[in-house]
Amino acid sequence: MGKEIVESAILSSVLVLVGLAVGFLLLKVQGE
Amino acid sequence: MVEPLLSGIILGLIPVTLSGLLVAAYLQYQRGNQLGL
Repeated sequence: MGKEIVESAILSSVLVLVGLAVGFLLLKVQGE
Repeated sequence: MVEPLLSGIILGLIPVTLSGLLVAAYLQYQRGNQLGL
C-alpha cells in the first residue's frame, strides 16, 4: 500500500512538471 | 477505505505546488515586480 502511494506521488509530480515544461516551451516558441 | 492512487496524487501535488509558489515569490523578490501593480 505504501509503495503504491509513493509511486503514484512520484508519477503525478513528474507528469505535472512535464506538463508545465511543455506548456512554457510552447509559449516560448510562440513568442519568438 | 484508503485509495492509494488518490493519496499519491495529493501527496505528489503538494510539494510541487509549494515549491512553485516559493520559486515564483523568490523570482519576484530578486528581480522586483515588473508588472507595476
